[in-house]
This record gives sequence, C-alpha cells and structure tokens, in this order.
Amino acid sequence: MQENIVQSTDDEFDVLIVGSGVTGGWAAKEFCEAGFKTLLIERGRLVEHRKDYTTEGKGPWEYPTRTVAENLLVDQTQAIQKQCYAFNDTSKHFFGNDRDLPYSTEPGTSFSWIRANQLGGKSLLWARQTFRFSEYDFTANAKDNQGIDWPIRYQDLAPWYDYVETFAGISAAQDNLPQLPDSIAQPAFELTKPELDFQTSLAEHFPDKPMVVGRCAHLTQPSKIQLELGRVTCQARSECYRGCSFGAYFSTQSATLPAAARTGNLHIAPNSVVHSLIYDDAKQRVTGVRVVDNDNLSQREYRGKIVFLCASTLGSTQVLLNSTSKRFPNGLANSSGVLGRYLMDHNYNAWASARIPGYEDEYYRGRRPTGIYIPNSHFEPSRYHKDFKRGYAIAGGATRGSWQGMSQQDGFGADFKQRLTQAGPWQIWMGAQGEMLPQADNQVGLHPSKKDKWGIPQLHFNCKWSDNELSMMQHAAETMHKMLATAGFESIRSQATTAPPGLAIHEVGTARMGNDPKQSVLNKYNQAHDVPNLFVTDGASFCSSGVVNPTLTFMALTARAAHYAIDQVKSGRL
Amino acid sequence: MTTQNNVILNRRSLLKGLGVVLGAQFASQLVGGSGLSVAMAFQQDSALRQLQLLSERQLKTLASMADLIIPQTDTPGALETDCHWFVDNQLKHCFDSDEQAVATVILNKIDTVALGQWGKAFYQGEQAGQLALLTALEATEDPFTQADTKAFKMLKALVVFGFFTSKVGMTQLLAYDPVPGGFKGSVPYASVGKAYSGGYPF
Repeated sequence: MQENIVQSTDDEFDVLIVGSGVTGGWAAKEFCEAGFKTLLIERGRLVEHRKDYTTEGKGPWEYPTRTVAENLLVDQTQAIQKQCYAFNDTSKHFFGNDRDLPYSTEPGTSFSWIRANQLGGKSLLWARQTFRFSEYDFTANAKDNQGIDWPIRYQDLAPWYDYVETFAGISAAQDNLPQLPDSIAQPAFELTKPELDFQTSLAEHFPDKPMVVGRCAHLTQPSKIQLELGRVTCQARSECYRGCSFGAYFSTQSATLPAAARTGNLHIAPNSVVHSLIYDDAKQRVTGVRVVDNDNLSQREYRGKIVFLCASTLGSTQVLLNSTSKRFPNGLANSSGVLGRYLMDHNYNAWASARIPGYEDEYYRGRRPTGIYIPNSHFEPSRYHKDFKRGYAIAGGATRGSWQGMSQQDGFGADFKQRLTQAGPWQIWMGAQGEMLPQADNQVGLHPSKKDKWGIPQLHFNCKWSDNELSMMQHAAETMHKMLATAGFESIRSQATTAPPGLAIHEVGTARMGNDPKQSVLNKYNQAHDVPNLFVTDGASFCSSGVVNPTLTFMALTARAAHYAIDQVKSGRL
Repeated sequence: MTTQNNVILNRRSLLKGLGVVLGAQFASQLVGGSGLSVAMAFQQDSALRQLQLLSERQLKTLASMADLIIPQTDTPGALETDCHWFVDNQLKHCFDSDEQAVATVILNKIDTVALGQWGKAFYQGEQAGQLALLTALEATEDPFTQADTKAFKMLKALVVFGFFTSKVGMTQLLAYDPVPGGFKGSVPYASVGKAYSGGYPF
C-alpha cells in the first residue's frame, strides 16, 4: 500500500474523494476503473487489510480483561464510543477518540455520535445488514407530505443496486415482498429449527408480517470477481469487528480498495483531516481541499477537478458548513439554507425476548452474521397505524443460552460446574428498527466558538424523537410481545425505551437531494445544485430515513453518482 | 508470539496512545504511580502478579469461594485457572468504585461471619463449613441480607466469567470452535454434547 501514499503534492487530480469508508471506497473504485487519477483523502491512519487486524483470532484469555474494555482508558477517551454495541477491547482501536472529536448538544437533547476515523472508516465496524429501499420508501415523503419528495424512484436505483450487489456479495433469499425488493444474492444463511417454526407461526397469525432471513454483505458462494480480490466464504466466526482476513464481509479493505488499487490510478492521502473545500468564486467551482495534518497539525492543500464528499453524513455536512466564501457565507452549496437540517437516525427503542420451550435436541454450528428479519408492514399510507406515520422492521434471532446466562444461578461444586458446560434453553430476542420522520428542527450547525484540535468548528446538535417515533416504539414493543405469545413462547419480556438518537449509527439527511434547488442541496445525481463539480454521496443526501439499513443504498447512490460524473466529464459537460 | 510478549506489546501501544492523549509527562506519572502500570497487570506469569484492589486476606477469601464454586474435577477448576487473581484485576479495571466497594464489603462480611462462627478466618475453615456458610449466603439466611446475596452473586458471576473465558474453560470445558467454516442451522445437540464457547465476542 505504501506505493499509493501521497503526502504533499502540487499535482491536480481528476477527482478528490473525501473519506474512505463505504462510499469513499466505492467512489474510488469507480473513478479508478474509469481511468481517473484519483486521490482518496482519509483523516485517520492507514489500516492495511490483514496486517493491521491486530486483534483478530485471539482468544479472550489473551486479553487481561477478557475483552471487556478497561475503565480508565474508556472514561478518558471513549466514553461516547463505548455506547456502541460493537465496542470492546477487541474493537476499540477502530473507534474514534472522544477527546479529539468534541461536539455539543442543545440542552434537553442528546446525540451519540459514533466515529471510526481510519482507512476504511465504519466499513470495518458496520453490522453488514443489507436491504434495498423500495418504491414505497422513495414515495413516502410525497404521499404523506413530510420533508420533500425524493428526486429519484426505485427504478432509478434498481440497476445500481444490481451493480453494487454483484460486486459486494450479498447473502439473501428471494422473498418476493413488495416492501423489500430482492437482491442479486448468494445463498442465504440458514434459520434454526425454532426460527423456522416461528416463521410458520407468523405466517399463520400475522400474515402481514412475514419473516425472512436477514440479508447481509457476507460471501456464502463467492464469485470470480470476489475470489480475484482474495475474498473467500464467510467462516461464521463472528469476529467481524476486528477486521476479517478472509475478506468475507464487504469492507473498503476487502473489496473496493484492492479493486481501485489494481488500476494503478489510486493515490491515498492518510492522516489528512479536511478542514474545508476551496471554492473559486470566478470559476464557480471547487478547486481543492484544505487539509490539516492529523498528527502534526501542519496545513496543506490538494487540488482536483471534481470533489466527492464521502466523509459520512455528519462529517460531510461539517466540511460544507465550514467551507465559507463570499458566495456561500453559510456553508458551501447552501443557497437553499437547508444544509444541516433534516437529520435522521433509526429508532431502536423497542425490544422483546422470550424463552422457547423444547428443542433440547437441537443445536446449530457457527456464529451467524445475520438473523431473522420481519420487514415493515406499515409501508404505505393505507397501512399506517392510526397513532403514527411510517413503520418499523424487526430483527432478531433464536439461540441457545450458555454459562453467560447461568452464572448467577444457585449452586456450588462439580454439579454446578457441569451444568454450566451445557447449552441452556432456547431463547429469542427481537428489536425494532423504526423510521424517523424528517423534521427541519432536527439539525446540526457549527458551534459559534468551540473548535477541535485541528481548528475546525465543532458540530452542535439539536435532534430529538417526535411523538411519531415514540408512539411507533410503543406499538412495536406490544406487537413483538404478541408475536412471541402467539408462538407459545414463555417468560416473555418487552419494553419501549427512550435512548436518544445516534446509536443506530444510521444517521442520514442534512444535505438532502431534491428537484428544487431552493429546498435541497443536491440534485438527483447527488450533485450540488450550486456547484456542479461537487458531489455528496453518503447518507447526508437522504430525504427520508426509510426503514431498512442504509448502507446498501449508500453504495448504490455513490456508484450511480460516480458514473454520472464520469459520463459528464467524457461528454465535456463537467 | 507468546502471551507474555502480547502483554508487553499491548502495554507499549497503550502507553504510546496515552502519551498522545495526555501528554507524555502525565503518562509517565501514571506509569510510575498506581494508574496505568497496573492496567496490564493481570499476567499469565504468576511471578509478576500484584494485587490490584483486594487485600491479601480478601484474595484468600475469594480464592476459597472460587474453589467451592468451580472446583477441580477431571478438569482444572477456578483456582488452577487463577480466577481469584482475575477477579481482583477485573474489579479494579472494569468496575466502578461503588461496585468495587460492594465486592470488598461482602468479602469482609464473609470473613467476619466466619470469625464469629469458627474463631478463624474464612480461608482457614473446613470446606464443609465454608460451603454451609456460602449456601446460607446464597439463600439469604441469617445473618445475611438480600444485598449480601446480590453482592455474592456479582462475585460468583465474575468467577464464572473468569473461568469460562480462560483458555482451560473455553477450550477444555466448552465446545471451542474458533473457525466454524460456515453456519449450519440445525445439528443434533448430542453431536456437540456441550455448549459452544463462542458467541460474540467470544
């Protein structure tokens, strides 16, 4: 990888890509394959595939605290990051340092901002669940008059879903559901016996809530495209958050980066914190980026003909807000004034669990990287619940308990020891993932005085759930409870909670697409209305959160935007 | 690479990281004092071990407890896998001060009750007497309170955690399967015969 590294250079690149996570990696691959001289700018350190997965394959006994992260370190540097489900001693080095990444929240609100600032970004840490948006998602805003209409429809994105799925490798069944379009897929993971019977129970008693196997970016039958990149079948180890040397799940490192690098067109600028974009008032174009060195805080610039902002939803918006000029005093490409507004996340505030009687002779093998999935049944206005608009999906799974659930049981001695070595009863857990409505008041802006160590104004958050989201979670908890009860399960528990937004790590919006330049930052190709050679292709561009996990749509939008830009350049229009 | 080397390597990178965060001077103070020098102190090498939170007497009480909870059978038990040392280290580094106090208070109470009943320390008692005392504690019998039982369960869970995340616990007592090679949704339980040691993050 060293041969790709750039520090200071006077070269003008064909394209500058800010951020190397899922979207930055995709942009790099597409531009490099089209013959563009590409600079991938990453604020964090290099992480090399395999070589830098330093915790992979280690047993818990090799950690002094057996993979539990240590208090002192966490309190001082990662008190926010540790709220993420994937944070522990084996993964903490892929999370940001809160001390370096300060932000503020409006009194009475809270937002947990999870950061992963290294080459590959959150593509190393994501939960890898991959679902397409449906036509219902793209038309929901128009139908129930929330936010603005998406400028694209399912048919615009469908070929790009095909395109990214073929390369990334998605494990899924063909479910033929209108609210959850099928993917081009490799074989689905298997369900366990109790899950299959629960699926039958749901089909009988909850016909509008069919259960499918979770779809995920894991290889189960790698194609030639994937094998050529050194990617092989998922081993079901469940070590994904440490990095995967099998390349079995999609990450920048496993997939898009090697594809980009083999073209010879890829250049990488690590440790390059983008302060702002350089806008030329006369040309009405962006001409480059201002960078502060991550380590020594020195300043440099990179020049390029096109800029793709792929710095994550809030990262990209922060850069735009901080890129001011005579023409754009309130942030680059912000003539509409909506930049920073309509921030959304998914709402995970409802869960349910139960014990499944029987199946003592049943077990499974391996640690499955996905689970059961029950798509949203409230996917069009005629199916909305009276108490809320939009809806939620349910994800979960059934497994057998172990010593972890029995460690507080009564007992001593050899019998107790023996009991703990046996698999416990089957248990099922389910959680809701609810849509969040786009609201102008849910927003981020630059703090008027506070800056981070690179001299970049901090983000200030003002974001909270509305009654719509709270009602939805109540309904979700009750519905899951009913599903479990109807199936004959025992010891059922369910709860709606009120954790603040952020922790779904599905933050989207704040630089939305739209047909009307007065109401949106980006056009239907993720191109800034105000600045033709500027594109934002990460979650910032979303007009609504939809119900499903957003990453597959990040990929499809990025690939589509990159090909649009490439075509525009080739035809002399950009 | 040996575990010992890993520990040293971890310690180095940890200190390096902290040097950046806190400034080298503060980091070196931590190393010199009671802060970071102990962060990696749960050594596999028992000769290098130092008490973290507990007193020597409390550690002995804990060791006797751990031995009763998970004894040596045809496989090693909690003592052979140094679970008492692990619990001491874990309490210090992964629990807050309130929880630490709960742990030390119940260890002291166990010892005090033993002294009152037998005229000697808990760890010096006969195993039958120790077991009777802990059984009474687990059942919240006089002189123990519900809070005592809860405190004991916290320590018991930590002993169990220490044991089943040790190499012996994971690889000898449970079905250790670090690279399953894929996922099968249904296999007969009898073909495995015991619980998997796996399940994220294990």
